Amino acid sequence: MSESKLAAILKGRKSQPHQLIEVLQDVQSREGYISPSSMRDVSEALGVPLTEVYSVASFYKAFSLNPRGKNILTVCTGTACHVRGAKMVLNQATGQLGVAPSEMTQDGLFTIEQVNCLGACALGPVVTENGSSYHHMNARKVRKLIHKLSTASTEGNLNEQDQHHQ
Amino acid sequence: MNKINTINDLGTLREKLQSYRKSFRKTLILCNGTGCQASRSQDLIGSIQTELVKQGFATDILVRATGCHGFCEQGPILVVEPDNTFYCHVTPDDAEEIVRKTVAKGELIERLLYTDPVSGKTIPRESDIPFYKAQDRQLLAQNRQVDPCNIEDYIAIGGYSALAKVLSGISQKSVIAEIKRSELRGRGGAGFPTGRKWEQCSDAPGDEKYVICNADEGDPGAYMDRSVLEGNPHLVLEGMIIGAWAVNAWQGYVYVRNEYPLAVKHIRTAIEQAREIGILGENIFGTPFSFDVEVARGGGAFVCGESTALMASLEGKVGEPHPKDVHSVVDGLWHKPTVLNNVETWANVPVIMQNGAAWFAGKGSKNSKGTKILALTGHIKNTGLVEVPMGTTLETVVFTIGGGSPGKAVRAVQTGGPSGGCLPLDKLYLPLDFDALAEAGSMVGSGGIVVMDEDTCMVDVAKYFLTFLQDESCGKCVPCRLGIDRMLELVTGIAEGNGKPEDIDLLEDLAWTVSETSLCALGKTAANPVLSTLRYFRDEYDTHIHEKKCPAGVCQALITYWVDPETCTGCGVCLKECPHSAVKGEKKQPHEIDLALCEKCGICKSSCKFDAIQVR
Amino acid sequence: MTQYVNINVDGMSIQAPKGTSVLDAALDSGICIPHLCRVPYVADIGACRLCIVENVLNGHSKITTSCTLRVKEGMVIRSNTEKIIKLRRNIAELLVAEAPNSRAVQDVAKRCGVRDVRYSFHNSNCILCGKCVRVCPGTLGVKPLTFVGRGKDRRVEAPFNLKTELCNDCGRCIDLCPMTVVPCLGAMKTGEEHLCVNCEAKMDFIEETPGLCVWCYFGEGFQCQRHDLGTRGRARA
Repeated sequence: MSESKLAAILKGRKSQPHQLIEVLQDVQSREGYISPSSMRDVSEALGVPLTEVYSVASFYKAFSLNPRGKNILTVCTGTACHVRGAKMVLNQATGQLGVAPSEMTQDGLFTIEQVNCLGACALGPVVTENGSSYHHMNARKVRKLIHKLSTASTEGNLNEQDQHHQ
Repeated sequence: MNKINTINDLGTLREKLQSYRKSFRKTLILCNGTGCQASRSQDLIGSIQTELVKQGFATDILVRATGCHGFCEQGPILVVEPDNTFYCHVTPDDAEEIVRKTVAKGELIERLLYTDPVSGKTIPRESDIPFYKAQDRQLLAQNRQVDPCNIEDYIAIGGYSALAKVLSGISQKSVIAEIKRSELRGRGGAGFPTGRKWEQCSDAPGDEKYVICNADEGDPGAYMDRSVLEGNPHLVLEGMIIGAWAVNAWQGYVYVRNEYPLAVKHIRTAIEQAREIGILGENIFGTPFSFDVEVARGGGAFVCGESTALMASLEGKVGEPHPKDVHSVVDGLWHKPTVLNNVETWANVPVIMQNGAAWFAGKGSKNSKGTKILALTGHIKNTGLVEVPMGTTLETVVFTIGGGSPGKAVRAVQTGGPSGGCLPLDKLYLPLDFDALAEAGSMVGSGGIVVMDEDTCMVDVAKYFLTFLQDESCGKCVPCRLGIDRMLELVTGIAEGNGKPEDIDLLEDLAWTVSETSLCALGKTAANPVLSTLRYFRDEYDTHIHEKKCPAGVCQALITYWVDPETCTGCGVCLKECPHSAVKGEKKQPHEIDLALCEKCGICKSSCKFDAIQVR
Repeated sequence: MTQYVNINVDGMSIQAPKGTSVLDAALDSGICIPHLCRVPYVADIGACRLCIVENVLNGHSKITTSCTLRVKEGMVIRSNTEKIIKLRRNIAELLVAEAPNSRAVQDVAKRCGVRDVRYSFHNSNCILCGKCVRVCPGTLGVKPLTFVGRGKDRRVEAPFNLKTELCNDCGRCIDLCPMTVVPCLGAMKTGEEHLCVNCEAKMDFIEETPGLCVWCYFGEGFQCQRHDLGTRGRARA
């Protein structure tokens, strides 16, 4: 991460070990994951031993220690979505892309994440993808969505109108 | 914003703001909570504002974007005051008509009105809608009156007057006594008497004390706290300031889970505005009392809803719980006396101080006072947030307010999240009461209520919760880490048709061990889903074990997909959609599924327009 | 001047310095409460849960780990009620089913009364007792060893190859690790794991010190009665 980006994140937080999680959150949203070099920088700036930074980064689900795909498909597996069939949606996604949750596909295009409740239970099962949300999902719809995203990614653009297509 | 230096300043400002609000001819209230945002409420607000300008109403119409109204199934919602007109399922394209007809001429747009499912008639006024009428919305009703990002809205409706009352001469001991008298019990799940907690912290030795708001809300399917924090952050803040005054803390924290970015944004804005106006910081209202609040985000760990784990996380460490032989009111954050309360608990504090302990204790049942916000989700018609007096029966909540299930009949209601249990239909006469539900093998918990219909397999539900808890366990102690693992192994075996009769006895013995010996509440309550489903749905487990069948048609290993030749029209849609080429058949002839190729993804079933594909 | 408090363990009066854990107080007086993750003089974490006892307060019994419970004047502790015995046995059963390939773990299981294992055996090489992490001195307070991950994925690691930089080969981690004590009949291969009911820790290299029950090394059972009852309940200078 560039010096300036890091400096912005660390502003007002240097030598404050209790800010570790906040700092890692910002690194995660900036970089998409927490790299070993980011950990070293953070360890030095905050005064937290490197092993402890690693320990914290590996404990919390918010942090990814590996780079993530271009399209991050988040499937809500909260209780309400589960009873409405979220498991089938997740199975379809993982089966279709050939990866387990939190793994990235070989081509770097997709990572499937699971989240335990987005709080939009009236619209479940819910899948979000890089800011857009898709409602009342089932295996069939998610299959179409993944197909659309793959073609769009390889074609380089995404049709705006399809953003909220159910 | 001008600073409020004295309590009189607050009163003056309130009057000014109230007359400002009254000066508008109409007010348009639009729900902009996370749920409605997912249905494009943001765009709707934009369209409304554009239309108002276009049609010349920009100056005499007030537009207020608020937090969640609770009637999520009907979102996006728009309410027109003072007529109290209620529009639902509003889209951005409706904006033009709404302004032209309702705003300009007071004309109602029939298709946007709420239709009562029982009578079939439309109900134009919000206050007449049965869903709202059946509730007691002491906290939630405030959401529609305030723009969460504007402290002035909160002040206009009387906000911070409870704080002003307290700082005008009510002693710390009196505040604690009042909260004790109200019999408020923690709304996060444990239901510990709040007044007693504050008293223990106040009595603990030391000058450095902390108050924390637990906004980790990890129970899946629960979003009450989120809606209060997103929709009315100042209510929570006011509660915290009063609490801090009572126990003599000068620093507070709001710990919000990482998955709630909007709530984080709104509470941060609220704190900034409160600081600007002088309600947070040095010498609040000109008194010697100084207090400030910081926001910290969670890292995605359900276990951080547990108080000692939360405090560890606040200290920048891994969220591992610690033994609570000495409670956190004495030895908490940084080993200092700390009061940790849930969002809803804090939200009740200003309401109690304003209306009095007797008023609060006048609601609810013998040992569970006041109101409770519930998140009604799952197989239910009126998905959303409801607020009812404690003691209301589950039946009332699920059927009268919730409208029952939209499809098949209700068979179970799950309360209390992963720490709670499933109650069958014949137990729904039970009241929403801490003790009654605990006795029945479940709990009130944080307020999440998931309704499950006949297509839900209770063995699968137990498996689901165990999987969740296994994922979220911190892993430190043996009973939780290994015990949950083994319970899941056993239940999975049963779900896959490999269960043995002895498994049930072992499950019960193991469940007992985990609940008695785990270090923290996550482990201690981890067995509840298993124990409650065993208690009330034993025959379902037996069917899985002895007959290797899943009556609800959920457990993948025990079901097959089948095309009903009587209903199948041979349209060929399923054949086309099947990703595994498992469907065979000629055009206009009944199709068949090749079980060897079938991956049970369910795509064929959802594509069939004739409902000809069944699960057996 | 050390302050002492009086507590009652299993009907026996014990004096212990203020701030001592109930477990330490009991062990010092010859009452053997099984334990596995305890390291003398290093902060207890209550992870293995074997040292559970009943803390009797106002007629109410609360189950808690004795290693994390500090002694308090007048405390009443029961370490071997029927309930505790059953719970401890179940915990030991979980442990041996998870990591049978250690004489220490097998021994704990035997002494806690495990007679058969109702789960399928796994063959873990770590029980996450945390002793290694807690005793590791590292270099200048920075340890190479730490816990990473969470729940099922929790494990001990030395990330970033810091072992080379920070480990000073003191060997304490190896000394204390229960998994380094190989079963009497040799290491168990995968698929051949079993409950070794004959296993009794035969620590010949530890000499029995008069007046001190050394058999509580690696959590050897309780009520072992290898120890002269007359030495219990004495005050320490």
